[in-house]
Amino acid sequence: MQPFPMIHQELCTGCHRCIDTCPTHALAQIEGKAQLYQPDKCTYCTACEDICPEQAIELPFLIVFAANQSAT
Amino acid sequence: MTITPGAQKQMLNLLGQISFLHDVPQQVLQDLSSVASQHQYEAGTMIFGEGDPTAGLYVIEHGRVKISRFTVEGREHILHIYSGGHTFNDVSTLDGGTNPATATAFTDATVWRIMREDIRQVARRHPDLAWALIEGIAVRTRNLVNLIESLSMRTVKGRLANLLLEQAKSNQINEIPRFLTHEEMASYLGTVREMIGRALNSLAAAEIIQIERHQIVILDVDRLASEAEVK
Repeated sequence: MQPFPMIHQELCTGCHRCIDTCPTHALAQIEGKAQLYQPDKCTYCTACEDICPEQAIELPFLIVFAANQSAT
Repeated sequence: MTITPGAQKQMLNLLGQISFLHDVPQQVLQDLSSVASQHQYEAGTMIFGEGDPTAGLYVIEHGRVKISRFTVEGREHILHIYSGGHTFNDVSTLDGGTNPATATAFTDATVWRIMREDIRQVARRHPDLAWALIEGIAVRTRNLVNLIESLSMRTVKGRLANLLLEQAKSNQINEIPRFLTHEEMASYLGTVREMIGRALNSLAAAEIIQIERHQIVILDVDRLASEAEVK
């Protein structure tokens, strides 16, 4: 599974900050709310999550060991 | 509330998975299961709030439940995220006080609840249950002591290093891996998201971890463990 940024519509106020900050223009305002308009362009940089004043955007990460590492 | 025989059997199997009830006789588990009620919550739904009268002992059947406390400014500190086969709210069930934390469904969750008075009645009939509950609380206390040590004696970067190691180990053995956002990591570690970003970048710059699209890959376990050591 390849996750994408999750934008919680019920928290989004349509302030446009994430759209303005996204370096690849992957986000767009649709019906007054931010949405991931071009997911292929998203580089998962977390800039949108960092700038959202309502904490409406989440980018989840999976934490794993590299192939040549393991738990000690 | 009357539960069906099928549901009771389900609850009985679930109780058998709880670590501190492993040595409790089957009859005791049957008595407990007969006074339990099943509840389902959608992800994000509050199960009970900190400070409310005790909600009873909960056992998770499916899904994950987040236990957290909030500052007066509304900042959340996640104490734990429990998954299937674990109990929560043991403390207020046993001491009769208010719920010490807020429980929220982290994912869609199915839980069973046993009210305090019902547990007392079963424990009066079966002393084995009382001892098992004491052991369960002792384990929780030990975990909290470790958390206190982590918060007071490790830097944010050290706590993050510890969290990354724990999560990677957990994801290695669990069938369903857990994804965490920066905000969740911050809540878990009692800090803010910006500090998590800085600490991750610092670890990445030292080539201890690599931040990929949706993964944080631990490149050097030994150096990460060294960062996690209490200083």
